[in-house]
Amino acid sequence: MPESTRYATDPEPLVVRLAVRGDRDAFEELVRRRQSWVRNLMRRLSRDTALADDLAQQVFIRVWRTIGQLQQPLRFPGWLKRVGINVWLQHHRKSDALSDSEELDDHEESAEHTTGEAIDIDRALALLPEAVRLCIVLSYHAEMSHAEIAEATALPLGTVKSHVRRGAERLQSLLSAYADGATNEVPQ
Amino acid sequence: MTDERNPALERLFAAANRPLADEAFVADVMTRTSKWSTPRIAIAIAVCVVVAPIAWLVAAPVNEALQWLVQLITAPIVDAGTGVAARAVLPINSVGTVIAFALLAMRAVTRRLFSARG
Repeated sequence: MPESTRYATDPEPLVVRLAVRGDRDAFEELVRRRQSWVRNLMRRLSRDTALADDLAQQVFIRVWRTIGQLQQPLRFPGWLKRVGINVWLQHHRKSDALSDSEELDDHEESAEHTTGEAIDIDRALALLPEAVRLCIVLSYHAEMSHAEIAEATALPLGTVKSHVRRGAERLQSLLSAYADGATNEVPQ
Repeated sequence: MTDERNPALERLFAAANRPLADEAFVADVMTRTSKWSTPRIAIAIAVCVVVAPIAWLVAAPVNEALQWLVQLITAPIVDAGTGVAARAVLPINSVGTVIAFALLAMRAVTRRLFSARG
């Protein structure tokens, strides 16, 4: 059996435990299993596929550097989620974009021009302000509760709830034309 | 408002979360994580190179300071001469003994304070 597929059929807690002990084959297996989720998270958050993949790589590099601190293998999924969010927030703070005070209304014009076209979810998300998009993605892609989002992003709980509610409404209106036109096709 | 999610958006997010080709991505991650070990070794060597001469430089002053400290704590409080009696009472007639009793007293006071609060 090739080295890269050595742990392909093993349960994740076992693979995590081996990776914690420094087994690179086990770590590679974890990257293989989780890369789609992390890359999709970054694609939802950023508007740039190349940037998303670079950030996803940074997530796994950080995982490799710090996985020795993980005490309980069963907590790996939540821990990975937290690492991903931290990498995104660090990248984001560099451009100080989260602190901007853009409101949804600021994007009305560009949204109107796009509505009616076959926009996919990433393009619709790109029309939301950064903080709103972050809350929406963490709620719908990472399936985090509002309280978890508030803790992870250091945003007030009320702000998170407002961002998720207003963002969902805006997203739905942006995607409604597409949803009406498309059947069950996966957006490309 | 609860944490309830919009079912239509949930379906869209689930559909958008499609599997992505892993070969190139995994290879890149493994390459970048293997490079990570090289700088760490280099940093460790650099730290040793810097620490070794510093340790060599401070060894003599540290040694002198320790000798001074030993002389201080073994110095008698009351000069009892150099006889056998003086040597016999030296364990309780020294600066070190005073320091030891002071530390024990501080410990007792601290414990009493904490137990009183508890």
